[in-house]
Amino acid sequence: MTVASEERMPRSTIAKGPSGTIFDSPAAKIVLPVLTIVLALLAWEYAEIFFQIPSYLLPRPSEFLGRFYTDFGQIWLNAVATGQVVIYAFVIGGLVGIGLGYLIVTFPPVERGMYPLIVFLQIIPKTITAPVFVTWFGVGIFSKLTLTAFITFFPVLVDSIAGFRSIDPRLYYLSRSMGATRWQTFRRIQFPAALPQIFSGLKIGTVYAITAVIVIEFVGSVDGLGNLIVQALGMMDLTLMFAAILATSLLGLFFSLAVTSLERIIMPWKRFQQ
Amino acid sequence: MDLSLAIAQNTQSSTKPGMALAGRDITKSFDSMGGRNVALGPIDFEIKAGEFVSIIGASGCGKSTLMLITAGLIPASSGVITAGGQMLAEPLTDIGIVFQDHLLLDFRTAMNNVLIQQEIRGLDRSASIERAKHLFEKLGLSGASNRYPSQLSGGMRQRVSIARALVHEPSILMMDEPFGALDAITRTQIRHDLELLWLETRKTVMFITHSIEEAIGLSDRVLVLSQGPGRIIEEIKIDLPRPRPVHLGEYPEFSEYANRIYGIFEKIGIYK
Repeated sequence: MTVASEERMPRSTIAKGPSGTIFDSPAAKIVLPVLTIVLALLAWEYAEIFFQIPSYLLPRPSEFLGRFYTDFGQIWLNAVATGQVVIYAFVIGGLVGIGLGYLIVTFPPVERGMYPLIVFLQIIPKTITAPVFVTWFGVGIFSKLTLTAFITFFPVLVDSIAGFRSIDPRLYYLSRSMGATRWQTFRRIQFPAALPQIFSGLKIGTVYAITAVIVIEFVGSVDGLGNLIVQALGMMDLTLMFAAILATSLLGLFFSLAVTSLERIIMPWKRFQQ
Repeated sequence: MDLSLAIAQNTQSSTKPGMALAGRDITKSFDSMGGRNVALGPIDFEIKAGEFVSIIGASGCGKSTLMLITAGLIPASSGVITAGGQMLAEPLTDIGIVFQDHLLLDFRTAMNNVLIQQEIRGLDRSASIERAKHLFEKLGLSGASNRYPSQLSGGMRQRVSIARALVHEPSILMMDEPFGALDAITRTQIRHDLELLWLETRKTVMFITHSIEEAIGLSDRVLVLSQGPGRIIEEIKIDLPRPRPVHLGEYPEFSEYANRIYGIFEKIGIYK
């Protein structure tokens, strides 16, 4: 028995190689992070009980997770309000970013004219302009939309410019020899060629967009997760606040997963590279 | 019979005749610190319909520039290009171009890279697919249709880009050192495949190269370009039967032509 197992042991190790441990199995990729989160939450829970921290200062995970469950209706409605703005702003900011990026790369006078303004706008921390947008466009979806689109627009613009610039200029020799119109060249060559960079701009854009909506909802809004957080602050209801923060994080996670999935669907060739 | 004449007659049997190309007093100069710097010309040349002409010269002699000017893609500083007897005012479109880099679009499969010609030119889809399949077969690409460029070897990518230059049956084919980035074995094989493919349709070909073997292996005529500024200093008619063998080196006629070109290179100081 002993001899047999000794014989088998090294062989199986060689066959599987150093990466063949159970920690590398597909299941472990899901189980390990989940386990880490559960352990961290348990540690948090029991540390609070042990050190007797009052939950009006720091709610225990069981409390805000319970609140997330009991108040889910309210949280969901606000998440939809916030999510809606993110989607619209994303589309508007993305389209304007790609469009302006194209114009800047294609027409040098546009670049010369716009560049100083863009650099100036880019160095402003744009979330601080939230009160201005509320003043101009009032409390409601319009002010949220304009600020969020404005903020999402920048990373998309910067990366589209980089994307359009990375195209080998000799491809334009080819497209001209085919008699391609500007639109054909854009649609069949430039846009798909710049897509990888455009997507990296969009990914940064999602993070910015969520932050932007929440901030403007802090300042002036009647709905949305930012508004819920401010309401919870008014009532000194930290448990609800934590539940709302959790919801915001999940919304952020949802959008970055959505963009990543979209990227995989739109750019199947990326799977074969590297 | 005169070889180029025979070829011109041959083109009449093909589906679409090649188109004659000619340049008169072509020069290209650039503004530099020391004033105006003439890089190219003056050059006069003529490529008959259905003729395969190579332009050979050292790196930086302006042969690629000459090709781009002839294709109407960059303006000459002076001179006139005519294509099929017409003066050229805008880029030639009855043309296929192959560059040294394959310049395939990494987001399209091999087949779709070729079919971009059909999409942009608005040609018949199914006829273009048939033609592309035929070219893929001739070029040894049969299994590659649905692969992305990143999944293909360097030689196969270049074959795809040759297929892209031919799928729409242009009258003119221009190639700028198309095999320059390939290894010696692949290069010889593609050269041979290209000759066989050309014999099918007899396009007018302007072939830019710095390889003596390619020039002799493929051309009806070789134009030797000097450098600084690039000028045509010699014209050599290659009177060898076609299709020419893959292994050219063994043939005394090849060595004769090669030695002649080497001799010119030595005379103008490319080889010292």
